[in-house]
Amino acid sequence: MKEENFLAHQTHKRISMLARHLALIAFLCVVLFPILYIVSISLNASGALETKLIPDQFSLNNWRYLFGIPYKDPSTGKMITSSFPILMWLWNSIKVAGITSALMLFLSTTSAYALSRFSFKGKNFSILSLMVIQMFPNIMSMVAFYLMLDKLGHYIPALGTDTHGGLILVYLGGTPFNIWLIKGYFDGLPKSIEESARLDGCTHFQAFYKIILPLSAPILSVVGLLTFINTFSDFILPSILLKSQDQFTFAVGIQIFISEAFSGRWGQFAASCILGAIPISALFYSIHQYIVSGLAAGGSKGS
Amino acid sequence: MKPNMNSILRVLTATLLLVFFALVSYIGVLEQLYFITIIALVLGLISFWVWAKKSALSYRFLYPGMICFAVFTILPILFSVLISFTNLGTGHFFSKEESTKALLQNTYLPGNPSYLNFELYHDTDNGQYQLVAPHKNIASAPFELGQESSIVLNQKVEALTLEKLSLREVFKNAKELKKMTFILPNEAQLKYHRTDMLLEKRALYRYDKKRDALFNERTGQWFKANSERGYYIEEKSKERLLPGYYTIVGLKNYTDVFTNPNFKKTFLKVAGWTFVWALVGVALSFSLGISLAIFLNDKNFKGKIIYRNLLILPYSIPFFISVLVFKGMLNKDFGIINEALKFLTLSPVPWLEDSFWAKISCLMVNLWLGFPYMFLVTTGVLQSIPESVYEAAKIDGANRWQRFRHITIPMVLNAITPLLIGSFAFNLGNFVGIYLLTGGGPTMEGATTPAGETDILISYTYRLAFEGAGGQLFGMASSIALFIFVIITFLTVLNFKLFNVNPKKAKS
Repeated sequence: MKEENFLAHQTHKRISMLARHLALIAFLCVVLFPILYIVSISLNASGALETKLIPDQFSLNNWRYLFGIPYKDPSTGKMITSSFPILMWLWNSIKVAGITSALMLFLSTTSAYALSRFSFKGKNFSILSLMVIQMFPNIMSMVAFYLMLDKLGHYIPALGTDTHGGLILVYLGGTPFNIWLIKGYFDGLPKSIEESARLDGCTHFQAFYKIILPLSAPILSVVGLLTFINTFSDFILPSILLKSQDQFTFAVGIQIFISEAFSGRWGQFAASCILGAIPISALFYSIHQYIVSGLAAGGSKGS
Repeated sequence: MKPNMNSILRVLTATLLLVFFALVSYIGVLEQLYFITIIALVLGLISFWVWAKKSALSYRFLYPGMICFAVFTILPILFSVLISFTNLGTGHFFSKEESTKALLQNTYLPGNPSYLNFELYHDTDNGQYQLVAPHKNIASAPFELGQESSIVLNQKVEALTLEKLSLREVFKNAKELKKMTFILPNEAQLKYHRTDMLLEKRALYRYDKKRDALFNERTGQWFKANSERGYYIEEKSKERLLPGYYTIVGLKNYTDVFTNPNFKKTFLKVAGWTFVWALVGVALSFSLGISLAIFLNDKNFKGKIIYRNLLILPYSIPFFISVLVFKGMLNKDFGIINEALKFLTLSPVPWLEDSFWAKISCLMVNLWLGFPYMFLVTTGVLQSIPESVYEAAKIDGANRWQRFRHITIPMVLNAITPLLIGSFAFNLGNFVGIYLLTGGGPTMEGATTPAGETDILISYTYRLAFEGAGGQLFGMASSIALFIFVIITFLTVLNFKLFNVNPKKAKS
């Protein structure tokens, strides 16, 4: 009797487990459908908007287009070469995001250290204002940014509108969020580390960059990568500030590329999307456990 | 005490920063943006103090991040506030001086204009020009091109050794010639008219400083400067002169939102949808996220790492890419979703064209983008609840539902609520989620400003400032943006109050 009951219980458990797996797999199919679909489109010879999920005919033409390799159009027989600098847009994005992250780290680390270790007049006020203002998306001041860069461009052309310099400058206003993250990490490092270094004759600054900085490599890389991801993914500021095709970031370029002709460029667009998404996706997976642990929670991409 | 290398560097930095900010404040004077002058001077003095004073070490550490914060975050916010009190935008891009100067360049033809047929001669040796009217036997003295100047024609025509310019060559210099005024012996003022003729043109307006008005020489009307509207306006006919200029309009941009009936309706509709969008968006992502997290939070469940990693895939892709892909998939005529509906013999749905369906599409796409984040963070919280708490409850006789209701839910909510408020704030400014999908459309009926049924405040701001068919309304756009500032500040303060965050102890 007891034996039978146990067996029934086991089978029941197995069936419920199986049902769970099936439910999850079904759910994943729905969720991942757009991704599978876009991969399939990028490999499809036809590349029209209404294309079925499984391509009738495989072709790498969309990828050739993306990399600027000429190919023969199957329907007209003409040779086609891309006239859009898609790879250059991607490079622009990587460049802007890379420089922004590097500068951001350089600018926010010492502030975070001051807020974590020193006591000084106005400290509480600084922390409070950082906490409030890091919540504001910078795009609220879009009109102000546009006008300020427009004026600035008259004096320093490299920092005006339609330049990467100007765009990076605007992103540097995002230091509060990073200061906030790094400060949290510094708070967790025991003070005794630097105190012993100071006793050994280090100056305060030496203790900071010889002892604290190397210890903070994990948080610094997380902050750097988060900044990179967020900058790469930004659409609105570059769309306001950048005017000429050569200067576009990937986000702005690809939006204009596809909006001009949704049905005609769907295949090439699919290939571009995959190429643009892979590096960011990879970076995200390298740091997502920090989001789980709450370290970077709240402000990064939100939603 | 001997000055060491460090102090020299420090003082040098202090001086350089002071010089830099002094230059910026000078630019502020040149551009007549006096608030920039004041802020740059204040920042300059602070910078100098921080770097020159040896004991201000903590402030030197604080300096780099905070100066960026001040210049690229605080200053633009202040600037936005300032712009929101002006009528800056299309038709009002110039200052009053610039606008007046442009208007004073207008000319008109008098009833019986003098004219003069001319030839232009070029001295290749010194690059100077000479204008000659052979029929009237007068000529100018040699002059240089490219300046706004008056040339008196008072010379006799003598045997010319200079090179005569062809009409085509004269045409090439037309732009420069148009700047110049040529004065005949009878004092008529002539302007370049075509390649072989000067024509008498008179300045249309005369500025009267006392009245602060422009006098139209031809019609005899007075156009008074109206500092409320930013135009020169004729009092009776209400005719105004273009271009206008920017001017402080006070709270007009704000009061318009609530008094101008047309604008009020649009604004309230947009603001209402913004809240629905943010609230429903967070609620949907959170519900799906926490359900999945609980579903997978079972240590006997095999392969959950793989499932977890696949579930967060949508979140790892930059939003703008996913949203654009969805835009294609939801296309009414060719999109794969409507193709699938047709295949199932259902009628296609106007996903992005109908106001109801467009809102549903926005929310669904946003759910796809956002649930993995909620899934990630709730998973983190669930993993941090110690097993012993559940064991203890079990011993006390709590059943499965009671354990869930009285342990899991309170603990998750406690940890997640600040993030939910943060997400809500993020959604208020989630431009990409709306604009790249629907462009704000479909167009809102009866709206006088560029607004659509799915526009949220931030995309509305963008369209007012950078997209409008009626022109760019910077002042109004900034005032709308400030509404969002107020809401977000309120939410942040609420967050602090609810969770009693103390800055002294605060940790991230």
